[in-house]
Parts: sequence; C-alpha cells; structure tokens
Amino acid sequence: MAMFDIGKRGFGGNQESKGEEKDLLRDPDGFKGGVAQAPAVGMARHRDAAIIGPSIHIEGTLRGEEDLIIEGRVSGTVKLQGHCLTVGSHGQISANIYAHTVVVDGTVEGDLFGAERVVIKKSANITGNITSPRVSLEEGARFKGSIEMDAQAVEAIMGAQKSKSASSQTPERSPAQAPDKARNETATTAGASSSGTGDTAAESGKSATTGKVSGSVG
Amino acid sequence: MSRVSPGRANTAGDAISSPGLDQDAYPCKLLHQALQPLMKGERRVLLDLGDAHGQTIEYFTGLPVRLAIASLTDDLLKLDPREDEETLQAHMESLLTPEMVSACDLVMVWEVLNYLQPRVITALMSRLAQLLPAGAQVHGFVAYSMKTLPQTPRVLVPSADAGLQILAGQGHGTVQLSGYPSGELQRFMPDFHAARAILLGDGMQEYLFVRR
Repeated sequence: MAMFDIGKRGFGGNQESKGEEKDLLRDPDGFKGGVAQAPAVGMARHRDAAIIGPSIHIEGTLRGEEDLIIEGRVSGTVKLQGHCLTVGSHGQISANIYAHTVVVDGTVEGDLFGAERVVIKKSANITGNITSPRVSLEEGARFKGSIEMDAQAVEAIMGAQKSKSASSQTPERSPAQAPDKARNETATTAGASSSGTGDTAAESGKSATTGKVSGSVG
Repeated sequence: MSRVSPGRANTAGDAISSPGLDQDAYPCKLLHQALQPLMKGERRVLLDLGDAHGQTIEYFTGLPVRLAIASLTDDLLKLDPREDEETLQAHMESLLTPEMVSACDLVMVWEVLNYLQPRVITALMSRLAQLLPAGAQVHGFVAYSMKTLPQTPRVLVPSADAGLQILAGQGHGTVQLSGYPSGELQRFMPDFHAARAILLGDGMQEYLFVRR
C-alpha cells in the first residue's frame, strides 16, 4: 500500500498556501499524519477537518473516520460514515458520497447519502439523487435529481448501505494487510510533485483511499 | 399581478429559508387535492419539472415522498418548435428519463407551460405519457385571460395549504401570451384528459390532467 499525504497544503494550490505550510511545519499539532487540520467552515459540527486541496485528484474509494473538506477532484466513492463531508466551492466530485452530514458548495455528479442531513449551498451544482432525512437547499443552487424524503425509505436505504459498508470495510481499512512494496514505492513528502496509481492510502491515521491519487504537494 | 392571498411562512422541516420571497400566492385547490393522499401519510413520488428551490424541498420535508426535480425550465425554453416531431421527441427522451418519471404519481409543470409553443407542449406531454402510469396526474398552471407575463417564467413554490407562492425577481420585460383555451390544450395532449380546471381570478387557471 502506498502512502500519500492528502491535503498537506490545506486550502493551498496557490501561493497563499506557502505561509500556511510553514506554519504547519512549525506547529506539529497543525499537521497530523499528513492531513492539515483546518476549521470546517460551514460544517454542521464545529471541529477541525482534514482537507483535500484543490490540486489533488483522487480516483478510487476514499474512506475516513474524521470530518473532511474536499477542494480537489475525487472520482469513485467517498465514505465518511459518522462524519461530515464538505465539498468546498472548488471541489469537483464524481462519486457517490456516504456521510453523516454532507455539505455541498461545489460540484457533485453522483448520489448523496446523508445519515443526518444534506446541505446544499447556493454555489452548489449537483446532478444525482439524495437520500437523507433532512435536506436544505439555498436559492441559487443547481440540483437535478431526486430527493428521497420518506423516513422509512431513507432508513431502509441507509441501513442497507451501512451493512454493505461494514462488510466491505475491514480489509480496505487495514494498512497492515496492504503489500509493503507498493507502500514504499509511492510514498510522497512535502515539496514533491506526485502521482500515484494502484492501492493508495492517505495515512492521516484515520483516512484512506484505494485507487489512484495525483497532485502536486508542497 | 393582483394579489390573490398572502403567502404564509412554511414551518415544515428545517430547511434554509429562501431570500427574496414576495407575498403573492395562488390558492391552488387542485394541487391541494392532488397532494391530499400524501398529506394523509400515503407515500407518493412527485416530479417537479422546474428548477430546485429551497422552499419546495422545505414544503415536502417530513412527508413520505420521493421528490424528483428535473430542472428543465431552461432546456424546454430552448427547444425550437420548428424542429420536426422526431427531433423534438428525441430531445424529450434525453431530458426525461424513465428513472426520473416512470414511478411518478404527480408531475408539477406550473408556469413553464405558458411559454411553450403547442408543438413543444405536445412533445413534452407525449413523452410524459410514454413514461407515466395510467392515472398519474399532471398539475399545470395556464394563463387564460392574462395577456402578458414576465419575460422569463416566474418561480412558483408551494406554500401553506398547497398554494403556490411567487418568488420575486424574474427580470424585466414582458412577453405576449396567446393563451390556450381548455379544448385547445386538450388537443395538445391526447393521452391526458383535463380532470378539473379552476379559474384563479387573475387571468390564470389551474389544471389537473390525468394520464388516460
């Protein structure tokens, strides 16, 4: 399994991020295992969240056990069950999303499953179906798809997704089970441009991706 | 536009409130009638052909409903009524997919019907007829004596008691309306019959069409 530092630049991808990176390097608490901790603006729960910066492109399954903000591009599947996912205004997602709370400010093509709620901000552009007991949409947002609001149907769908996820989660989550060779080959550090393919893990200690990751870091 | 009845704040759900609401609203008895089973707790599948609005979602929050939002207003207005029937039908097939339409109990068309040429209405209703089950309803909102409307369709969203509230800010300018009498509308959509129509008193008419 390969290592990849997701979001080391936080909201970076431009010159402004250099200062931010310095601060992160000075302050070890601000940089935990390759994931920048940033305040999750506009999120339902007030706590720090990991960030996938605008220059990062991930293909595959992205799993996590913490809140996450995506400002980059993700294709595949995003699973943050029990946590909040925010698709930032620069975020472009082509994936089905499973999370406790989903906040969309950017572009999503795919289905959204929010166990608690889905919040669609005015700059959002969504094509896909939403399953959640609570959905809110700000005027100006673009949405094309259907919204399942029937509490029983939502419960049935979310329950089915949960059990499906639980049965498929264990092997993918465990970095110990991944081949060491691949882990060593694709390890990246700050200051390097990177692109990786294959089974890739973003080792924040809590987040992981399986698939392909590309982007420039540092 | 005359004021028909004041819009009332909706308390359903906890969605974000919509800015720019004005107080105009149409009391829509037929919409109320069509939504009665849903209000009584029966599951319904609805399709809104218009764009997504927070207040529409808010209105249905907490009800046993699957709400499909087609966001077709711009696409329908762009269709060229001079195109041949097959081309129009092909456009409709790409805009209205079976996944979106086929399980629907009620389709909400509302304001856009007034801006479509007869051939486009025919193509639209023909496509809906292909996909909807017998007995499915289409709630329409058609001008009968109103001679002008804003240049772009007004945004209508459900308000308390299944009225339709008009959102402000639809730009400047007006368009002349030809207006479609009931019999003429019926000819545009042979697969549907107008189950009921109610004059709303300010030049608009509410229709409930039923798939034969």
